[in-house]
Amino acid sequence: MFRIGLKMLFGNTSKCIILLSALTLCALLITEQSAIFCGIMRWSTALLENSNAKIWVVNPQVEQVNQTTHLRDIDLYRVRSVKNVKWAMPLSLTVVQAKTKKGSFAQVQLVGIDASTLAGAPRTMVKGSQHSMLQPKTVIIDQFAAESLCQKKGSKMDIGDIFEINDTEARVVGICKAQRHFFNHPFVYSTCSNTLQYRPKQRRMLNFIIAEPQDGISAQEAVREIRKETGLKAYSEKDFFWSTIWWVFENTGIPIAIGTTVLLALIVGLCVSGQTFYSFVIENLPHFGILKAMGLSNKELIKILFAQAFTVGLCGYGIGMGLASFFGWCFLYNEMPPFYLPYELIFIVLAATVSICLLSVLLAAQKITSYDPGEVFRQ
Amino acid sequence: MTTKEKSVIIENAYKSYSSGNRQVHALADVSLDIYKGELMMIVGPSGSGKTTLLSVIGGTLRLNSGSISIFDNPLHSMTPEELTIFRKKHIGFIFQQFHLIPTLTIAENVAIPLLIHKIPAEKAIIQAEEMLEHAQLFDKAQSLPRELSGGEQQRAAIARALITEPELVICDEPTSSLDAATGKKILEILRSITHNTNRSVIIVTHDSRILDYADRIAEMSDGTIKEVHD
Repeated sequence: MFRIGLKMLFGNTSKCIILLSALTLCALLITEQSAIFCGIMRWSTALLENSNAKIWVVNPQVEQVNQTTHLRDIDLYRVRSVKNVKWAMPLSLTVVQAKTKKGSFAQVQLVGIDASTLAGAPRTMVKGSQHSMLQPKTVIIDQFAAESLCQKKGSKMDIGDIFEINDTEARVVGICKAQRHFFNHPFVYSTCSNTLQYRPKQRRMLNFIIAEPQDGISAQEAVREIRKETGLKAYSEKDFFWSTIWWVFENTGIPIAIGTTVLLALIVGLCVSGQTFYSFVIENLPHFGILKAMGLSNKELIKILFAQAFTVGLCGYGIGMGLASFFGWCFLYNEMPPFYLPYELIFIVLAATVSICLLSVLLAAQKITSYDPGEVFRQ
Repeated sequence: MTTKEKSVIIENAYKSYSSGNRQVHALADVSLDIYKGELMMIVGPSGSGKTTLLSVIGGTLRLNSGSISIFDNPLHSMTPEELTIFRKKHIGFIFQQFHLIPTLTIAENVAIPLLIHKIPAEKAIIQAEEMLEHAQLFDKAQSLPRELSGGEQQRAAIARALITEPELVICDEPTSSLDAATGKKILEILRSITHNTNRSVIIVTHDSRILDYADRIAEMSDGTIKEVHD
């Protein structure tokens, strides 16, 4: 009977197209907007992803990774003295102005890392070596910096190229892969001692302490110990990630802006598909009545409705997801706007589409179950 | 008539509806027996209760009081679920407007009762095509209902009603949408089905041109059967 049900639906071309369009649009909007939101969240936690540290120690006022309230230099030694900490290294972060090869200016995120261990250095090098950074007045730049600091469209900075940071020469010794930053500043890495030449002098220069727990000790346990022993705020990488995400939720309008679009997509999807499916059922009520008269039970009829709704729903979901992926692919090419489609989102959108179909069926089902098969004799 | 075995026994049937503040007595103390192998026609003016009686016999409408028994099954005491199963097993329906599903082919329309009986789709379609061959509609099996004439559509509807070989076939104005010649052909088919297969066929009609085909005719007026004559 499912085949019959599907032919009844697909035979009604206009209704089918409206249903499919509504569900496709709904899946597309939810996926695209949510993926952009995930992309923005990923950008907002870029430093965490790029630096690869298990424990982050920060000033007690810091709630998220983009806040750079300073620590005292002595705090580094205090963290190192904690029993469960294997090692602790400084990490500085500041926004500085770089002068491009063509003479224009651009702001960059200057990350200073410990020269002896290179802890916090970029995970993936595209060109050059992390150790080249140990030379004076050298930097490693990310791929975005290689493009944006060059200014000439189509060309890129390469190893050996020189540009200026705060009127001081910086020679590129490596190009790395890095997650883009929330403010769209390129990342420039150097050793802490090198960064002292590039950044304005301040009384305190230390922003983060990155650390690793002793072998066999969990990051959570070490974090508790650091908090207890030093009074500083410490996070595991995962907790700092979520703390940053919640900070964005609480302090920016981004979740509301994107959440509103997602909610509207759900409402529009539900209204259009619910209304269309309902009118399809009303239009076909005599046919459903005949099927009832012939001995098809309400249960079987509802199963047919489910088959109809879920088939068109899954088609709409597939097309919507495909279109969203295509747009994502186009965005990824330009990396603007950020687009990140985690696998969880695929299931969440599927669940949203299925919920819309379910509600549409429930709306229409009561019309069918209450329909008296004897009505077919009165038409 | 080949046998006097009763297929439908209706005794003191009452059915009333609420229409605004007043009660409309659609059936008032109706008693009627229908036999196997009999083609019974129910006639009467509009509002006389013909369609209500047909709905009661078809198990799609419940009586307020009285009893109805079809093939020894007491319909009046059945639950809605039992009535649904009963209709599936014992009754074939033919409607005035044919009620073929417009987006399905004729073969698929005819196969629907078999699919309701959970017969696999491929087997059901083959059986439906065989049925259409008997109805001289095999060449139309893959056509959509709109591509067929009224007479052809009604023949397809008859094929659909008979494909599960029900013991009782009920027809609501089967010829009113057809011209006289086609109507007569349809009645010939229905009469041959009745007499050759010992089924009971009940026809509700306004069409005086077809009354000659009936074995018996029940005349209704104001919710009661005024007369039953051969």
